[in-house]
Amino acid sequence: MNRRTVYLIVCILVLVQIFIYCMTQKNNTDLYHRQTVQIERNIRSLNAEEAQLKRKIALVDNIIKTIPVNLLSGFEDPEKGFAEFLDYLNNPIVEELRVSIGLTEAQKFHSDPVALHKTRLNFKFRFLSTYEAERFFNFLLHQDKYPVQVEDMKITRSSHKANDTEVSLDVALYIPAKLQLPSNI
Amino acid sequence: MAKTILTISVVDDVYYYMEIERQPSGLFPHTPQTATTPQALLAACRKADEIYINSVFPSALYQWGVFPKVAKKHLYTLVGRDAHEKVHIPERLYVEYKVIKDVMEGGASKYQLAYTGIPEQDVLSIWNQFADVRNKVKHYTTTPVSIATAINTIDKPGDSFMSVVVGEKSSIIQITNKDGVVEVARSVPVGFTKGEISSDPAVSANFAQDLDREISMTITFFKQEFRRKSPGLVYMLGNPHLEFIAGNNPIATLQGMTVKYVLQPANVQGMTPEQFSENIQLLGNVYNTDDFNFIPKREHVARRVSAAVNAAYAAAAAAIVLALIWAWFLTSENSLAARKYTDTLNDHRNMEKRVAALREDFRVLSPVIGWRDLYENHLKNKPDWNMFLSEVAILIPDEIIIKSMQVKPDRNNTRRWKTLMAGTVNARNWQEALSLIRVFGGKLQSSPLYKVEDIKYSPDEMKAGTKSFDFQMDLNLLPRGSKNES
Repeated sequence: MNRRTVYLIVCILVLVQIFIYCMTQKNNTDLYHRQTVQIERNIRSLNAEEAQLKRKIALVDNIIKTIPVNLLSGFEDPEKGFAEFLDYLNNPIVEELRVSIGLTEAQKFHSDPVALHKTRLNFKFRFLSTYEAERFFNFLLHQDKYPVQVEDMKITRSSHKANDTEVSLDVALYIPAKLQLPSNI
Repeated sequence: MAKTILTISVVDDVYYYMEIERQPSGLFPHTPQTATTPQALLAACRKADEIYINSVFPSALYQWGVFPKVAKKHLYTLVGRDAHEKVHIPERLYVEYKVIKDVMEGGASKYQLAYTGIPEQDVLSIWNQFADVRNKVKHYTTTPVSIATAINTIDKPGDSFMSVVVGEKSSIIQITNKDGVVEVARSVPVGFTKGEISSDPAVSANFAQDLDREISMTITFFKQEFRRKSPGLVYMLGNPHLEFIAGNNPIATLQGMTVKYVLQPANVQGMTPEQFSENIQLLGNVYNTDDFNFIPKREHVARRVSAAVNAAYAAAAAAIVLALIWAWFLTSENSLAARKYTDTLNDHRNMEKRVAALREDFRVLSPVIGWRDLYENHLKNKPDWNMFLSEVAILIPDEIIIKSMQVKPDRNNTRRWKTLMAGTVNARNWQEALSLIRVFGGKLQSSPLYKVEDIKYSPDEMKAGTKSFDFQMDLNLLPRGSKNES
């Protein structure tokens, strides 16, 4: 084989090498394009999710503004919260009306609608004027510290003594766990 | 662009050569030189751009004949076979032919052609001497062919002619047809020096006599072969003394024929017609056409292969250049794609981080929805417990006494408490009691805290004298401000 033929073969081999290199580059480019398109599709999806999450967070943020801060602050310890409620009941009006307080259902954990401990209590007292009763109701039911919900209230007029009325009030006391909010809210 | 041509004529194993510059304005011949071996003119060969070679080839066979019209390769075989039959030698002949014209023979159209055959050994013995520069050799033929072509091209006789080229040791006597194709050619051992003419007149006389005899034999041979009369034009070339010799020693055979001793080339510069005519063997080479070229067939193949290889080189070079451009383009495109991919990937990662942070925020905040439910369903929308009794006390008539009230949350509506009120009406009769209940119910209905749902009033004692009548009233205790909503 003469030298010119060898050179020609070398040229062809070089050409083949360049061709292989070109095909590799082309395949890599195509792969980059495909992956870029895939990632761009994911970015669009993430963009939509980001916008949706921002809307949801803004909605929740607005909800938070409608809930009293003291309620959201909740209680670190339900037992301690219950004890604080009992301390709250240690009020002169309770003594004035001789309110008897009974525990109808011990503290029980509920996860819905939030994590909380629910205790059922019964209050019984007698009154002669609506003012007295409504003072107690105001004391017990219109305070913001302890969430109390009326479950049953029976008001019965005595048949023996005029204006003597007995109240039996069943309430539920909610001791919610403290809500951990992000610092930016 | 000027080219250097080297023309070589091999006569009696002596290499006569001459360098000629071919320029647009014409040919510029240098002084003719002589070498006894091809190695001696190697420097001139290397310097030359093109080389033309002719040789006398005393063994050459010049023949005319009629051959059937067949394909070129078969025609070549037929001509070769005919040449072999003519020369009766065992070795291979190199044959080159030229179709003269179509003739009718035996009712069939055939080719009349002229061919020249040379034993292979004779062709290769000279050719191989120039192996190192064979790529430069453009034409390799017999000296008679060169002479015939040159005379026909320069003088354009228009008819057949005879030419006698006298060398120092031998001469070439040939008859050429009107198209410049050799019909008869002979190399005869009759020569005359180009130097000073000998003082002895017998030398010239003997030369003239010998030459006359050879010309006569050539004409006789021509007449036998071609059955035509001898040409009327003779060119006496190759020696500057021929006209003088012929003047003093008339050549009988040439009596009655036109004799020319010089050629007048139009495109040769720096050389007299006499000098040109003296060196017709060398200068005739530059007038060669493609006919009767004895460059070996394998050299043609080698040149075609070489041309193909060169074309392949050019194609490969062009392909490599294009491939490199393509590679550069693809590499640039790949770099751009890689950069875009990296940028997009970074954007994606940043976006993922932001979305992950938002997801975490929302995960932490999502319990707030439960807090809203707790607040709104159980705590926010509560009635005015501190005045719901006072409201009844204000609205109730003196004749009506409430005996009991029971308040319970409505399981179906967190903004409503079902209230069952039981009481007694003191009236003169049941109709008055009913009227009082209606009035009381109307007042409760107009209260922002209550909405009357139902009244149950069915006194057992309808007769006069009864003072009190029982009733029941189903109410909804409502948070302040929510009555109009329901």
